[in-house]
Amino acid sequence: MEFIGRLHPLLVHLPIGILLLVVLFEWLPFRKPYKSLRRSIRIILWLGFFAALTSMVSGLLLKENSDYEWQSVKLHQFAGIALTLITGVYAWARGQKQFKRIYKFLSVLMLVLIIATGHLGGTLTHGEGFLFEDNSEDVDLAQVNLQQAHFYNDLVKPILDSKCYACHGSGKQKGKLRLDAPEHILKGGKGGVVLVAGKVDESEMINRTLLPLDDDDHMPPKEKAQLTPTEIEILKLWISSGADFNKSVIESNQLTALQKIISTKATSMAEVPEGNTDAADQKIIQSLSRLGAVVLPVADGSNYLSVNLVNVTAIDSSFDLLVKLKQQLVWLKAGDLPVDDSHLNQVAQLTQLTKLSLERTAITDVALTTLNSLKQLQYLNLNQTKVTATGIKFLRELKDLHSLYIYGTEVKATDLADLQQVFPNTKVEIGNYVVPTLETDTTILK
Amino acid sequence: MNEKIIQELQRKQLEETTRRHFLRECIAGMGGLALASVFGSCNPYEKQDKYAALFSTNPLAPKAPQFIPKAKSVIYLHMAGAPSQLELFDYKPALHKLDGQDCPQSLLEGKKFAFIRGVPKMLGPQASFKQYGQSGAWVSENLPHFSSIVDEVTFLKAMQTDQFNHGPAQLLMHTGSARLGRPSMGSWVTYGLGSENQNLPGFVVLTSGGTNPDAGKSVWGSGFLPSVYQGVQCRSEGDPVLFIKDPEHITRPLRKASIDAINEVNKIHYVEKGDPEILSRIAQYEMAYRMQISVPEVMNINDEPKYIHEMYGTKPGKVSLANNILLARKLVEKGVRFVQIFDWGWDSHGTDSNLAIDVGFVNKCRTVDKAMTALVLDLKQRGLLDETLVVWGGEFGRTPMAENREGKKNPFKGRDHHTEAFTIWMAGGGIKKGFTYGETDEIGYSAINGKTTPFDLQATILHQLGFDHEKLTYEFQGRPFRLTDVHGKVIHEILG
Repeated sequence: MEFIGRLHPLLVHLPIGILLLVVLFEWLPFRKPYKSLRRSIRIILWLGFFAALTSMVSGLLLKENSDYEWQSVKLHQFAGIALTLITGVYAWARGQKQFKRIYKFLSVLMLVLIIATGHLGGTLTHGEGFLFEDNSEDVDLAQVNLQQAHFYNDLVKPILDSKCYACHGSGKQKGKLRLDAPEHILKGGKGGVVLVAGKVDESEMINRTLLPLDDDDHMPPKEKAQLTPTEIEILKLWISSGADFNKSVIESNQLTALQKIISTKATSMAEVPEGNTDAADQKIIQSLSRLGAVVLPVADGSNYLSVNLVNVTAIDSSFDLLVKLKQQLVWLKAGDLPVDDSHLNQVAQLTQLTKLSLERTAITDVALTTLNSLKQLQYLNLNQTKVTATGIKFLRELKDLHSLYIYGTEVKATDLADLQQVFPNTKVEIGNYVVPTLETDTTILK
Repeated sequence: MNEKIIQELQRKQLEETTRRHFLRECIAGMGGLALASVFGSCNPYEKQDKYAALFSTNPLAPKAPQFIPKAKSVIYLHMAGAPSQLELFDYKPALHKLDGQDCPQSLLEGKKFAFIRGVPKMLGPQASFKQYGQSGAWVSENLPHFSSIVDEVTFLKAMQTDQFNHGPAQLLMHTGSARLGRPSMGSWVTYGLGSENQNLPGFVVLTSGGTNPDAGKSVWGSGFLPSVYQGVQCRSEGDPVLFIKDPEHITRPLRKASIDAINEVNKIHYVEKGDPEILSRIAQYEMAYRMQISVPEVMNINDEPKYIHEMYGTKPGKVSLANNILLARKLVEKGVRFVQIFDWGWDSHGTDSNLAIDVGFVNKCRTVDKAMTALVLDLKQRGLLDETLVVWGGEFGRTPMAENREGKKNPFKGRDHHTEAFTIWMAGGGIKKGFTYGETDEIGYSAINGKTTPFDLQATILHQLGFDHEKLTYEFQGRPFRLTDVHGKVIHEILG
């Protein structure tokens, strides 16, 4: 019996297919060539009725033998029974000439019931909102402000929501377990409690996630989206700190531990604008390449370009060509070359640039007055050039600039505090790091 | 002499006719004879034209990655022999208390060690530890300089491998297989990205410590990839590459003319045989010619200012790890994609004082500490750390037990090879700063969470360079191969 019940998700597709065919055959004969289709409707309809009946019975058996919540299964069950009944009536009426006028009405009613029953059934298996929400995405924990965050509401709940609610929520309660509210979590499931406050090792909701992926008891099931190690760490921390549903992160004394888990600081390359742009003229790319420049898309399929002038000797003509790529050019390396202030007029036109390297070139403060047009600029390398603190301040309009390199320039360490005020959101890197020589560096132990 | 060359040539030609080749020629030949008469009027030069296009494609031409990269270059510092994580980063106070006691049976049952037999004694940490930086990372007294930059790096503390001998473990780390024959990570990267600077190789290898790593040159070999992608080993003493200078009385134009002539012959040979290795040879001749000028310039650390030498602790003119580390920075600055550094001598078994955990190992730490700290800081001030991924580690870890070689106590304190836990650190290239991922048990015997493998590390390195490790493949023996074989997960937790 249980077995027949489990066949329900398979069996339901049969009446759906057959009955949709009935609707089609009922409506198509509006057009002459299809008139003869009418004759086959009755036989298909009876077939569909028996298929629906089988599905209904198997569905009722499934309900008896599993953990579906009556509230959520109720609607699906009534819709299914109604669909079977309507199909039966329709099949019987289809043989009686006097009901001819309501055939079409019955077919539409049946169609509506098919869609409703199907959708409600789908929601039961796949979870609420499966159709429209993208559940596969991991919770963006980096967006959480840990200083103000509520441990359960802002960290734990979103994780459970994205990875567990589908089977342990309001819709379905596999293993009689619900995780969508504090009282349900504490109550546990068929196998007992799942959470022991303060004791991670005894908390089944953590242990299950740590089982090997192939273990039958591993949660979430192998084919579903898995908890990331960071998410597991957060859940563990919450449980070990007492599994409190009301405290904030700070009140739980877990701020530092959490910061360690979800630290987001990293030295990263300048970004590329989202989406794509028009393709650059291949001829210009080829001319530039012939001059020795390395011109490459930032990635396969992207029209945004990176250019490295590493072995270029014809500087003037390459800058002329670069201007023609201004819509595509995002990363430009022009360091270690005889580039001077005169070339910066062309650079100033490259308004898509996010990364610009001009280290060890002959540029001076004069060049910096022109760079304010590069509004997208995130990375600017002016190392070992003749620029000064006064010149650097010309760049204050560049709001997206996050890294500014001025190591080995005329900028003094004493100017740094002042510059940091002008560029509050920029990492101003003046370098000059010293790794002191210690006595032990050169002594050899015997 | 001439006779020998002709014999060699004949042998080579015979070698190219394999059994398969012979059978195919027998079958296809018959059909070919028939078709030749049918298509007799077709252009007989078509075949040559098709190959002409091949010669114009340079296998080392720069290429775009699959997706927008977070890093453009890698400097991989491999301490061959495997440094002890228990004397550097993985602080285990509980191990102190067990020092000198017999190792519990539970840690030995069913385990295999390279040298430990019977019941060894536990060995407490042989260095004192302190927490550093905002991240509070534990670092031992053996790395006084490095402890100042812990907020720049991510530690992977739960690395695991399945090879407990140096050669196979190094191969696994760098080629994704413990057996010979697979391309190394640097080769895969050059295969995927080419070389940004056409005057320099895309993949450079620098070795120090007296010998090459145990796995030999295979750890930077190109395996089944065309050999143009193999690592170019440069020397930090004397000529950086052997025979890089033109012989006396040979002028540059003459050298160019002779290389062109050799390449013409090679092209004819390729049209005849179709062996892709001939294309590699052509590309290598051309690169060698260009490298004759640029390599001596880049590889010369004498021109670096004095304060840089003080920072790295470099002494020009000697083979040293510090010199190689400074060279790595210069190479990356010039557009080299992958610099692989090997330093031999970290195998602290305790069999002699050089391999003692409290003597030789400390000396090894002193040869790397200042230079690797300088490298991270120098890349940072030069604006290169954002696009350069620095990786530091060994091929496996070391046991929390003292080694008892074949059951007997060693004369010095030392630890055996250990596969179940070791530490690697990474910096730059989009990796989190001041972060630790993974944890070992209270005596550092085994990883307990955040476990990572060499495959995961490889997948992560490729990911930062803009590649899906499952999609960077090469067709060989009838199936696509990849660096991580069928394994590997990108360690997203450590990405910024």
